[in-house]
Amino acid sequence: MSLLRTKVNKLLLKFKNGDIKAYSELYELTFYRLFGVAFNYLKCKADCEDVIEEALLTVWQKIELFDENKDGFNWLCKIVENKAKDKLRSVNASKKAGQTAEIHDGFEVAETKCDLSRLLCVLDEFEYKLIFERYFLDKTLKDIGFKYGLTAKQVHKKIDKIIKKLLKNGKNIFRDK
Amino acid sequence: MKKDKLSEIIENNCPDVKESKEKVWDRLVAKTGYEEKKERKIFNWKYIVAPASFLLIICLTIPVIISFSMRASNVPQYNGERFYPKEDYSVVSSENNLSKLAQQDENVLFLNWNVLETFNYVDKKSNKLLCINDYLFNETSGIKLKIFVGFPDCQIDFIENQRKFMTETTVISDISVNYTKDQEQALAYLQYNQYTYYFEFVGVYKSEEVFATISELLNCKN
Repeated sequence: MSLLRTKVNKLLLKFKNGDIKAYSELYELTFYRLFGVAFNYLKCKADCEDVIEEALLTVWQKIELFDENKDGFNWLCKIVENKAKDKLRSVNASKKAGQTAEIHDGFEVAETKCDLSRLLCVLDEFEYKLIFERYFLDKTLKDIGFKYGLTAKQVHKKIDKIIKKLLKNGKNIFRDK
Repeated sequence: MKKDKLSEIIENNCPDVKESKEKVWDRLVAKTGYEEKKERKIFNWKYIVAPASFLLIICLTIPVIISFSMRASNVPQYNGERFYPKEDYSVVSSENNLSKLAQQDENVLFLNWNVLETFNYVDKKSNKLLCINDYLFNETSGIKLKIFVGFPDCQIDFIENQRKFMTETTVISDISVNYTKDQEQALAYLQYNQYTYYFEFVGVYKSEEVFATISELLNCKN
């Protein structure tokens, strides 16, 4: 288990045992990752916010369901994924119901305004997948490599390269602004 | 935990995501009542230690007080007289015998016999003289006697214990005398002018000899 997953498990357990402060630490530690998970489905900042809010509210209310013998980070990601899928379904249903224009406009506006999409737009699909699995889902280099037929070292090199690219892109975002 | 590279990049380059982080947190705080719950945390050592130590002190103090009060209540009380258990007094060899005391206090009786040895019983705390013990020998009759004279309001433990065995009583010179006698020794006890007199006759003597000795003591002033 990675350091992040161990830490998340500890915080969830502390929170389950009544340590309220652990909840905010958990939030600090996982927000960007969970945002990335939601963003992978929704591409809309406002929807991502709603999804994360709902997901973390579920954690607050259902913490007694957390099984400390299982991977807590995975549990969080699953909650976010499920909420994001639900959200996506409701957005698509609304589109079909004829409210497309309004929602779509909102969606488009939100998408173009979201800095994360601007940051990640420089990546091709494969690069995005690598980054998503490594950073948002916290998968190991070995697991990612196994999935895409690469060695862990190769994945590491590619991710390093992508990070440099993102840093450069980040500077460009600021320059544009 | 140190933030990973991507989180840092997002935080530094995506102000609106950072803003989302704050916004979502505010919404969560409002919905969960996080701040309120944080303030009245269920368990905190800080709040437990003080009452626990107070409780511990109480738990330790109460048995001590109870044991002391029980001990105090076990000490025999003799109408306001002070009872001296063994640990409260010390016995010291002394020159301060009964005849010397009698010179200072005319209420004290004494036998004008040979004094072989004298011991003083002294209160450990106040150094107050509690009792004088003379080991006497009468050259004429050959009687050896240990006489203990307890001061007014002083009850010495071993004298009080011996009194229990002195079941027989007699009156000598208008004074009630308790005594007992077996094949090894004779014991007697009386009170005179608030002083207590306890006799241990060393050796086997007839009752008449014991009574005669007590009579001699009671009439020493005549």
